[in-house]
Amino acid sequence: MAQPVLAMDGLTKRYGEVTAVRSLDLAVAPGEVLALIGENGAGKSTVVNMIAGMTAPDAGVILVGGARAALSSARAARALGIGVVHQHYALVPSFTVAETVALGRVGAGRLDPAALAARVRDISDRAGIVVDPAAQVGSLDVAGQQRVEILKALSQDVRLLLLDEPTTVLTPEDAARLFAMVARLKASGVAVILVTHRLDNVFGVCDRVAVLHAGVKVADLPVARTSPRDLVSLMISGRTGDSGADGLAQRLSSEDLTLHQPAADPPGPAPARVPARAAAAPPPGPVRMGLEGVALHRANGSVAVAGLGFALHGGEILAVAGVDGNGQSELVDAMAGLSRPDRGIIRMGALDSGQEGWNPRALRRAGLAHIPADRRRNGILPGRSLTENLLLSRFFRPAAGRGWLIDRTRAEGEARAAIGAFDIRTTGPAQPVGRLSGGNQQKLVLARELMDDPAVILAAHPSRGLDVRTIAFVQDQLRRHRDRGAAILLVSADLGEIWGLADRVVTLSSGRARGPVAPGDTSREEIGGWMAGH
Amino acid sequence: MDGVLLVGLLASGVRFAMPILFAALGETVAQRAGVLNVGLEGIMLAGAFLAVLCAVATGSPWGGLAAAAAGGLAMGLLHGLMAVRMKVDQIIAGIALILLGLGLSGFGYRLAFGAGGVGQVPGFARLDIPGLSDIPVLGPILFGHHLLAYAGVTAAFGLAWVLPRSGLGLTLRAVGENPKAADAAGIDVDRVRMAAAAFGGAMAGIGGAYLSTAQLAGFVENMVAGRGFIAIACVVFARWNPVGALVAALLFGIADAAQIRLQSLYPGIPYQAFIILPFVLALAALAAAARSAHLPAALGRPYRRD
Repeated sequence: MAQPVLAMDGLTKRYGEVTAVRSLDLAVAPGEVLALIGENGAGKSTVVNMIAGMTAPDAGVILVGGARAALSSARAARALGIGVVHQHYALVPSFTVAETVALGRVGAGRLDPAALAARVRDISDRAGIVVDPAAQVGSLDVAGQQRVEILKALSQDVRLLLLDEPTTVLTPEDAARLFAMVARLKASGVAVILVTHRLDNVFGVCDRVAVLHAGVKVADLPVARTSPRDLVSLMISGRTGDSGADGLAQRLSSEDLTLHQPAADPPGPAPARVPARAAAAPPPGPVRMGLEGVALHRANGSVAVAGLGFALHGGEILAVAGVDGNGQSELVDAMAGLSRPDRGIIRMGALDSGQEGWNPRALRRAGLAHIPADRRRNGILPGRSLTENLLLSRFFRPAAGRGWLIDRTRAEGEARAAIGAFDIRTTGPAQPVGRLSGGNQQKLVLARELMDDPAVILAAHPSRGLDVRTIAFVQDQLRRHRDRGAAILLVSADLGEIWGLADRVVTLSSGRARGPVAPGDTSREEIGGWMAGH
Repeated sequence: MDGVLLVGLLASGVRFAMPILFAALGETVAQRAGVLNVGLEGIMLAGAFLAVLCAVATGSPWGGLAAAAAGGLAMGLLHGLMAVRMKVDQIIAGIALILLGLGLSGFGYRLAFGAGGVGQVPGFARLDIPGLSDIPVLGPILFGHHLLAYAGVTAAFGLAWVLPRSGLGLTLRAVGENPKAADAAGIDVDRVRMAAAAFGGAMAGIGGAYLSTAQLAGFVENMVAGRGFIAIACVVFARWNPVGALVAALLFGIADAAQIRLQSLYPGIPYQAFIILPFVLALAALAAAARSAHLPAALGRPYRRD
């Protein structure tokens, strides 16, 4: 390999107890397109921020052009020829395109609108990007805003362009345009790092692929020498040959993955396509919750999933499989009453998402429990006690107190009972929950959500980040409540867990929903293929 | 109300508006950069006191003005230190400044001048603009003021140019709207905010100096009497626009001048009813403006990299 444009050597970043990236070695050569892939939380964003000069590594060095680089700020990174297109665009909506490009690059004095516009036109001509310098950034759609971000990144001479999840929000046409631009940059000798979790991007434009799993690089090899099956397996479990991804190769014939034609596999939304032979017979229990023609949009307005419909029956675990970021969180939010679907309807008993009263309180009163995916952010109050955390979603029950007052004695008794029943390792009901280990925090969330025997349970990644014993405990709890007659929606990316628990499976991928199917009527290969977006 | 009375009312309205205007312009800049300083009241008090103290000591109102600006700058930096660097809640940091300014100015005044107070304070002389100040009606209203008043109006128009049309304004706005974008563009967000907080403090100090050495001549404990809060109301009412802040400050200044005249016109009505007039106006203005206000998106939010 020629002298690398950028090389990371033993790069490590810790956040508190969590090691986001562990001694990463990675290099990219001029004219090379490197894919950096991994699940959400695998550490990709941390790597991006370190290269962009926005996060300082705790250990290790970054070499730019062979010399040790002090990337202490975005300005320093830019001065070294590193251009970054962030996933969450850092744009000021009230600025014009010209102002956006000028920000941080002009002196304190008068802005010359004509000169700024000319500069924008010059960059956009060279990159082959069409954008109006006078347009207000906030009025552009997501693809337009991305073009502005790219323009910003290219506004000086770049040796390395870093694209963080660039296609998640793009239509197939816009993605094709983006990749055409990447090809032009590659031809002119620019190194490109494409951070993504979409495999079609990898096989479409990349020369080499590095896989991150839980902050560790688990693979780094030419794209030509790998397969989607291996990459899915590496992303999910950190090793090849994971059962969940087995057999993908047979399903994915080579013509599905034509090189240099990334738009051949559109990432845009399409209606659900349920293979007739695989449609599962609904289980016997009564319908507890139903979705019809549901479309969900992400916060930025892009379509996360469209045409989703299924009925959740009592006494079943319905798994929603898929790599994170394909609409799972939007689905759980809508079903929990935190949002409304953008199209279609969700029903639970007498409640439906078209009503004024579609909110978490009403749904919880009707028997809904919600185990959120991000327990630290959405599941607990770290500074408050176990007792208070156990009351969090339940204090409004008549049994919780007398009139306006909460019955503290009773609440503490419940906390003691929960600590015993769920084997929470703690110094007592008064201990702040933030002091508990992650596993014990999750047990607390489980105790709170399950202790009133809910009719419907939304469990989002309930065993993610836990040790084996706690995982087994969580899964046992879900089985026990299924057998009691609860209807359970299990969101998981772990096919092992899904096969161990689920009665039926729906997959979400690239805006498409497939299923439900019963695990017995399908294969892990088929589900794995759906998860990969094929 | 006859013509002479009206001219007098408007002229003193302009004078009354100036302390509010300076504080409001400084706060406009600070808030556009995302720094909310509710402690203007305290800074203005400190400025009013320092202006008297140093005007007496140096024998010139300019010495007082410089001291007031420097003291305000220091208090603005203190606010920046708490709110920007230490990420303390900005409201609480601001309230600390109010109490600090109130205590320091009252205590310092007694310490410096004793119970008897100060005698003659060197104040700013009126600067009648030759020719223009003799124009009937408009002359006394617009062209018969202290030099500082012309400086305040000039500052309002100057800032109205700087914010939308200069690189400095671009930087300030980016920091207040989306600090992450500014950071990504290589701007040191906290440094820009510290500078904005310091500017806001210095302007509030000048506002205080105007009050004690131009509008009046002397210091009285708690003499700012709510003008710092009115200035914040002006910023919001003007939707963070400097010329708008000038208009709003004039409105409140005239209301203040009117309430004093109304007190003597209607001695039968308790004077407190008139004193609250500017505040009622502020409340009504804010209620009307709040509905359509687009405040700087990152106002009052400390920036932390994630």
